[in-house]
Amino acid sequence: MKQLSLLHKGLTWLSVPMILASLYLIFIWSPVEEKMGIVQKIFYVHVGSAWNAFLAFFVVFVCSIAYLRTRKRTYDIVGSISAEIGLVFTAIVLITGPIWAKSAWNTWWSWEPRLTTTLILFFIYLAYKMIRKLDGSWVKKARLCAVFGIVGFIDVPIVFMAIRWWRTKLHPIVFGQGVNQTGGGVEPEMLITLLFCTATLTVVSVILLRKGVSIEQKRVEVNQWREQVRSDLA
Amino acid sequence: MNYVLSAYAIAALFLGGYTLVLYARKKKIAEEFAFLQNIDRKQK
Repeated sequence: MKQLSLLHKGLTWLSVPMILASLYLIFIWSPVEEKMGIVQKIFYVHVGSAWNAFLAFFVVFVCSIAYLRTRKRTYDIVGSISAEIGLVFTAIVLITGPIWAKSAWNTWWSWEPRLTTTLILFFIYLAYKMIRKLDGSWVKKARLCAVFGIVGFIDVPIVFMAIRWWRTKLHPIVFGQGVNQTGGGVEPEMLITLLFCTATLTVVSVILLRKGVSIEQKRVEVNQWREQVRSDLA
Repeated sequence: MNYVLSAYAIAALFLGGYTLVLYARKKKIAEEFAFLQNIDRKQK
């Protein structure tokens, strides 16, 4: 437990220079893209956030399976906080995307497969969080959320593969090639910047997850204590 | 450049906002913990 706490502190301190280094890499070191110009720099936060949203929803998926197998509340708590973090990152993706699109495609929004499936993904996990606000015992809600967390994860590979499965001209395939052979590729400096930014956002994500889980565990303890005090007073 | 700065500002706002939400939760729990501790002490 003490080692985990030290790791958390280390990550928190590490995140500050990582964020500063990311900003340096994005705004000073990485080259300006020829066709799109400076607006392409949105790419780093947009793709990094998308990766972290997928990772957070994968954690929800794993924790949901683990909860249904073991019925341990810790898995339910980790899944719940991870879903919140995934929602924050998906919201960033859904806002930074249209800002980029306005400049690159001359439209804020297009109902093309990737955008539509990402919006659906956001609503799936919003519903997941809404289930937790329902009345009833936490056991019932945790079981329902676990099932929802497993079924909802189906949309994640659909979002990733959307531009590869459906022929879309708007959203480019940056890594690898799709059915329409439009694989783009990026400059080495851009790739290094993207990987570093994604790593930075992953560190931030881990910090938030650990903090959120410890707060939620404390809340569960306090709630149990409150119930005990209430029964003692009655 | 305005588009780029807006995108990064929004990302910072969302991540910072969520951090603030977590600290607000922590503060609320700490207050409740102190309240229950007070009741517990009075009972004893």
